[in-house]
Amino acid sequence: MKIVKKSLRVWITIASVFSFLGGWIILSHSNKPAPLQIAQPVISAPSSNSSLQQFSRNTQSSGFPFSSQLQSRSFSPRLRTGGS
Amino acid sequence: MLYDEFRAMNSDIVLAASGKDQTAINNGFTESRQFINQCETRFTRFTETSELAELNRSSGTWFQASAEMFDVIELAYHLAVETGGLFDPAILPALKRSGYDRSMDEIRNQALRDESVKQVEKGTTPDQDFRNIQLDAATKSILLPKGMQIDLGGIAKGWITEQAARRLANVSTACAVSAGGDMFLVNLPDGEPDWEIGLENPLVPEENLAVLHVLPGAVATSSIVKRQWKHNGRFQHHLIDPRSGEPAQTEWLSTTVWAEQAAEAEVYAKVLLIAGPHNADTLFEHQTSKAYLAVDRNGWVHGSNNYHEVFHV
Repeated sequence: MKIVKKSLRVWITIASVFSFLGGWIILSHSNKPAPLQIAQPVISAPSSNSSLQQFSRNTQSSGFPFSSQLQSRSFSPRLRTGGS
Repeated sequence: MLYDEFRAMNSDIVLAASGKDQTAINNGFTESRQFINQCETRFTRFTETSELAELNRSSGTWFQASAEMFDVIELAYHLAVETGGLFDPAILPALKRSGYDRSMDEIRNQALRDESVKQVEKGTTPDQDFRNIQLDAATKSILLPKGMQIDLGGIAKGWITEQAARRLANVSTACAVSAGGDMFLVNLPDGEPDWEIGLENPLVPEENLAVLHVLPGAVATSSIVKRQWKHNGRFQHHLIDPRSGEPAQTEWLSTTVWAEQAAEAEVYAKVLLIAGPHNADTLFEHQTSKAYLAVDRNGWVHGSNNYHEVFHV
């Protein structure tokens, strides 16, 4: 009887170890989960000087928008010009 | 950099100066403030006792002017000739007809109480060409043609701004004087390559459209958005087109001009706004020392070919 009990314990131990290792191997070879998608605000870079000059040369028909000049809006100098 | 701010000429005035002697700068602020207030008393058209009111009453006869008045009138004459009459201080009757017969502060306050404004009968005073005035530099005398009434609002403000800045420059290493956005900049702030100036968004005045990096000189902006009022049920603005005698119909909302002199910058900003995009290049064709930026109704900014020489955006 003792031999049966001892054999059973050894068998359970070996089965547990192999089951754990088997699961580990299976998981390590499975596909990785996709990263969580987080919406990022799109911030367009300020226009370069060269592009501004390009627009400025044709004053009759075009101009350049300042809506992307985010840095310019971020602080306000003490001196402002805007008509009176 | 030290600052002094107050209100004069119906505008917010900002004095800025840097230098080692703070006491001298503060004294300079006081002197500049007094100068501005004295000049406002001299050049305003809203009091009957000002020198400008006396000059207008004297039309048809020679008027003995102060040195300051003669300087401004002479400058105005040369700029009227240079701009082909597009700048014309003799639009005062037209300004009154459109309802601008009191200071803008008074009009704004009145508008809050009562939208109706005093009506000036159209055509009661003939508009005349300012280029027909006569000047005698030896005696500093001025002859306005009979019936001519002039307004020196913008050009006088530019002249006063520059003179105040030149006084402040005597006690500082760098300084700026701004009168409602018309400014004169002397030298550069310590360690800085330029002056930083916010370009106001005419569509959203609380916001800056951009920060301009500007070289020393004069910067002035004209806008049809700022000084607006309702007259006979219609919105009016203060920029009269001398060709029509009516508030200018323009595709631009504001124009900003850099020039060597403040009065020039002020006049050219105004004339550019009246002339509009189709005549801008012609107007600036021979003005290589001046540069402009203009904002249209969609918030787009247009610049002269040489704008990058003085405005870094």
